[in-house]
Amino acid sequence: MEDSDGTCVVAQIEKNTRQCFQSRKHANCLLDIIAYSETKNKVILLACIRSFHRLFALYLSSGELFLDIPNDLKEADLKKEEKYKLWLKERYEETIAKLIQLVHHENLNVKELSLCTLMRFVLEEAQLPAAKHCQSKTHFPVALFRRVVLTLTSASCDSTALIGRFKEYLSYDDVRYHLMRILHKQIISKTQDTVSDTYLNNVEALLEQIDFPSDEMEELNHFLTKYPENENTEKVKSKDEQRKIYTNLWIDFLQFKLPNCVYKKVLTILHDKVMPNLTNPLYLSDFLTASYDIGGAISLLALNSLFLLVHKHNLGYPDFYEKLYALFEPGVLHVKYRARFFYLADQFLSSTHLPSAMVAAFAKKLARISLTAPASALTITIPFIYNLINRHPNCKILIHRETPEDLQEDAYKIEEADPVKSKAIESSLWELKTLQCHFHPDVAKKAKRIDQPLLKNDISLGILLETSYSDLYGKETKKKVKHAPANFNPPKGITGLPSDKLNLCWTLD
Amino acid sequence: MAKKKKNLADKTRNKKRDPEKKVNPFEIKINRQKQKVMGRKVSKHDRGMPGLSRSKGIQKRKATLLQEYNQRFKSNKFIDKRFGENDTSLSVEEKMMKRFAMERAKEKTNKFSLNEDEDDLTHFGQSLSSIEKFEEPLVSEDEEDGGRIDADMVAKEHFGGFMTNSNHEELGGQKQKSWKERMEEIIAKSKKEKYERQAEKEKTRELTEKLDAEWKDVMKLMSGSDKRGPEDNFPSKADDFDIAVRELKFEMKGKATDKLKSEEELAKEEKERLDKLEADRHRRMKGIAVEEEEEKKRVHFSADDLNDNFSVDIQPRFHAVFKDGKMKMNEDESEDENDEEETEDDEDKEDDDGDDKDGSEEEDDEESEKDEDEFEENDNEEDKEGSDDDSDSDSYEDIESENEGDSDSEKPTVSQPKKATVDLKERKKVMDEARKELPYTFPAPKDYDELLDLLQEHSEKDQLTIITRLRKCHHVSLAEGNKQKLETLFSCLVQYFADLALQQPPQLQLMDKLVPHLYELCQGSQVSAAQVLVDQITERQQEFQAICDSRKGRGLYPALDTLMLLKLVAILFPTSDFRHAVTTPAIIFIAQMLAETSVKHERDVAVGLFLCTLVLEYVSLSKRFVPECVNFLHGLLFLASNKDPNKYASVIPPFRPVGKFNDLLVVSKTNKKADVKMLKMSKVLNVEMDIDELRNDDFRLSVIKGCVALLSEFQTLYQELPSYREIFSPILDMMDKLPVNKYPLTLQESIKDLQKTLKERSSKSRLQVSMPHSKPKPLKMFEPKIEEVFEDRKKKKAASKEENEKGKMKHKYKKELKGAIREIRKDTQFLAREQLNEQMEK
Repeated sequence: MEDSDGTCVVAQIEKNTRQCFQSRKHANCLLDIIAYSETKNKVILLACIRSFHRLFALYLSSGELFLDIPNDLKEADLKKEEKYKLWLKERYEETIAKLIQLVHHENLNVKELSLCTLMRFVLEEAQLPAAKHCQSKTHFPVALFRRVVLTLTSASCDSTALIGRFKEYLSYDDVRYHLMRILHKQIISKTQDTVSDTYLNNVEALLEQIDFPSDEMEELNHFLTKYPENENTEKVKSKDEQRKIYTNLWIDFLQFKLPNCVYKKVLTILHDKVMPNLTNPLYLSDFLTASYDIGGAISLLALNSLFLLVHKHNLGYPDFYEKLYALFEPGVLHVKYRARFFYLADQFLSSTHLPSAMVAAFAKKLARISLTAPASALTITIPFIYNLINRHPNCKILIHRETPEDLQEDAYKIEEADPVKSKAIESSLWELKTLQCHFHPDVAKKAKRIDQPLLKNDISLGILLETSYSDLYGKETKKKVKHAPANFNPPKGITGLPSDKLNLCWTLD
Repeated sequence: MAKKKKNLADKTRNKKRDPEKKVNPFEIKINRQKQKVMGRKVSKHDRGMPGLSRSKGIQKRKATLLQEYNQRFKSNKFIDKRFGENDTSLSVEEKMMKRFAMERAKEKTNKFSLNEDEDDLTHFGQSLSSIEKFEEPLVSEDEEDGGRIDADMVAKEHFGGFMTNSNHEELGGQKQKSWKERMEEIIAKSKKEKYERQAEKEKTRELTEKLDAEWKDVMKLMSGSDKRGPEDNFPSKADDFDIAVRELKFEMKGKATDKLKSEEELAKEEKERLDKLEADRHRRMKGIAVEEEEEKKRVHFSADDLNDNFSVDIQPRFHAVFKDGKMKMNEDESEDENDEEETEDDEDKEDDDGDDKDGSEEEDDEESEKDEDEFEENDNEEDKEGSDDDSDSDSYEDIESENEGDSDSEKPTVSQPKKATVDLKERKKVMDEARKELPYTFPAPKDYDELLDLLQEHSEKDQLTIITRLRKCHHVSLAEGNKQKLETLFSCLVQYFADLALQQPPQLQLMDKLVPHLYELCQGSQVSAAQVLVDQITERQQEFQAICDSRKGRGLYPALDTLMLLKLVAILFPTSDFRHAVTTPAIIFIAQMLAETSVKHERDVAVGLFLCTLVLEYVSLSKRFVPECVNFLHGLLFLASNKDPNKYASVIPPFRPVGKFNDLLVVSKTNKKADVKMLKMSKVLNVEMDIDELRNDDFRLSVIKGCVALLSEFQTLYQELPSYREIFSPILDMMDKLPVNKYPLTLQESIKDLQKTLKERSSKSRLQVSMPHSKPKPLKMFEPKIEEVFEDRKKKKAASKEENEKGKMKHKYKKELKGAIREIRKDTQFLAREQLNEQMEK
């Protein structure tokens, strides 16, 4: 029924909208449209929202919704004109309620359009308020905006997709200011027990979207509303003020115990999106050191921001290299953030002033864990080790001794937490020798480089960081086959070759 | 033509060369070459005349730039079009003359006048009109010329007739003829002449014929000795002797054949061939490509070159050896060797030819043998040298192998019994049989569907026969284009092979039988076969990757077809090559699956174990290290071990220290007596198999046994690796945690053995790593490097065509830019000078 009716209903809505435009006489058509919007058919819904968008935007901008009536007036005393306005206002409220409800609709188009319509109303109201404000504090329609924000950060409905759309409004300085105010109030009022993971996810997505204009101007002037010259607006205008709120907002947000995925997401954006905008990034150091101690992928991610703090903001961090050394575990070569980790580790270890014993320990441990590494990780670890040795000539004894001795035991102690005490410098990199026999030709070639004199320059790691198995595979099959020798032993069947190993534990039936 | 006209063409031809411009020697600046190199092109810039070119430039600027400069504020322009007005070199009279001439020329211009001087026709630079050879046109007598008019007539009537005297006479004498009458006259005249000519010709012909006839009669008389009359022309009846002679004449002469080789010789040859192939394989394993080796040979070595890589394998010089008074070169020997090889090839070819005959001939033969025997024989035959007859009889077998028990082996179009007495039943039976029987030739399938059409609804045995026949019918040497057909057949068969693995239940036996066919086809065209397999595997790898991407980097184990294709790769192509177009991608894919798939149920365990077996097979010859595989086997042991609830075991992803699937392989009860069976591929690896069926101790024990067997193989392979201890120590640790006492005794035994060997080998001492000793670099010798074919400057070879092109463009751009900048600079200088002049004048 819905599909067949869809088009004619849409036409009807169109007609009603046009009539409403024409004159006040047809204002009752508005009721029809509101009635239509009760449907579930998304085509009709979209048409309704569109017509709301056009109609109320017109009403708002033409001042038809502007009402200035003292509260104590009775209905009977109203003039015709005022009665009509009152009625219109009621319809307006009704529509807003409906739209807010639709923001949680399952269809993305409907959601987006509703949000846009609501924001359009905000914009129009900001230009010309629907009601006279009791105190002329601000023209920004805070009440309406709060409702929108509340809907977006609902505790039950994931609206990350919508929030991406919301970003365009956040370039207005006043919108950003009010959003932060509202969010902050909200967060403070909540406790760990009352928040759901979805809520945190939504808030995080909103926070991620907040960005400050990069220019050096202290005065902000990109506003949605026209502000009267008033001292109250100072706060909105000042960048410092906004950043203060932003900092508080983040710090309070990070007090919550975040679910794992949100935690990782926060850590990935922290260093380049959030830290530059904080009044003092050192506020984050508690959070980051705590994260760094957790271990695993989260430590890896925290490393980046922590490094920024140490490097740029003079954070003293004792045992930084011990902690880093502890991160070199077999698991690190298997995780998704491998590229990032090696990029950072390369930066930390690039200093030539590090003690050789420590660098040797890093090289040896990385070599050791490379023995269980996937081929895709080996394409980065081997050049990494090579670079370490290359930078620290004292470590060359790891791959070359003038008079090699026959050793019964490996002097290196892998369990030792302190890299300097691990005696790696007394050991030898047998692991790289082993990897010279790796099945992948490129890995084997890379490992064979230690047999040749050291290079003058480091091997650049940039292109190697993000290699996956698919890259390796693609590289091998990209070229057209030109030369492919075949076996010369004729097989008698699937297991019919002398080199066959299937018969160790398999039968054909 | 009384007046000889001078033509333009002649003018240009006869014009004397201008005397060479005299160059002032002070104008010339010579760029002296410091060294003269023989063979180098003399550059264009060896000499120049800077003063001259500068003044030329200034002149040009005066004509262009200065004009523009002077006109810069003018918005209007007066153009004087009068001829020669601005030319000071002409005097007034000359100007007038020229103008007059131009005016005349303008009037005279007539597009259609052909006889203008300018439009003179030339031949070899000489005008045609000046060639005054009015030779008689060479008209052959045979030429049939329609209405040729003689020259006189043409001269009179066509050209200038009006002004000649004859016309005047006519005008004066008789009454004036009209134009029409005159034309008719001409036509009549020419027709008459034509007729006369024809008549004469006819006459000549008749005379010739007559002469010929008479000549024949005379001939008869002259050749009187030839007495044979016309009746003697009948061919005499050939008697037996003649026939015999003729037969002997046309009989095929005995062909020269190679001598039959003895058993030992054959064996030796075979061994040599295998040795050669094996050596080749070793070379490839070390990653030395064929091309590289060839290049190596080409490297130039200076006589005193002691540079870094001193090579011993200099080609041996040829020593002149005298033998039997003749000089003998070593080359002969090598040639001999080549010859041997060639003969070998020839033999192969011959064999093939023999086979082809079998394919093409379709005679009936009552031999019945099994297919398999025949395959073996074929294989052996490749190296055997067999007479044609032998191979003939062999090949009939393939075709006829299906005719067992059928005394009348009919062709599909069996002749209908003609006798009316034959009863219907018998007839029907024969027809049925005929219908059942396979045809002998098949069209080569163009795509997979066609192959399916061919093979469907046939029994396993028939399918194999069909494939055999397809291969024979379209043997490479039979027709052009057969190679492509066979390549298509190969790709279709690979697809079929893969699809058989997906059937329920998987048709492993048929696949097993398909393998020899695939091998043979692959031998024929290795490169295309390699491409087919690479494509098939790539498709599956991408599928796997897509699953990985959609499931946070964790894939699912593939179906049996992928596994069997990977196995097929190992059968068809050498796995030991350092880098191979098929096997390298295949093992990368296997490693990816082992590293990126989490084990969640029994089938995953089984597939993983199967992949590990494949890895073992891939690296068994080259002894390469595959960490993924060792990790996986370690993980399997972990699944089977007793876990300590208080401590996280250190395991490597995709296994996890905690998880609900970690006890998949822990045996539930003591099975001291149980017999550990091998795993069944078709059951265990099947996607649609019931997992609960495998949730028993039998399966677990089989897996553990397989795992232990593989580990002991791997540890033997890797015993030379310096990190043996580190590789296998986690495995040793994990083995201690196995509930060994619940396992059957044989398994316990093998586990103990493995533990013992691992411990023993782990305690070996190791030599510290050191770089291979390199010789000190000798000083460079400044001795001329002699090239046989000298090229002056070697063109720098770019990496690719595009790069080359890019380089050229860059060079061109640079040159142009420099030129433009120079021009602009000169322009500004010129302008500045002009401005200064202006100022000074003011």
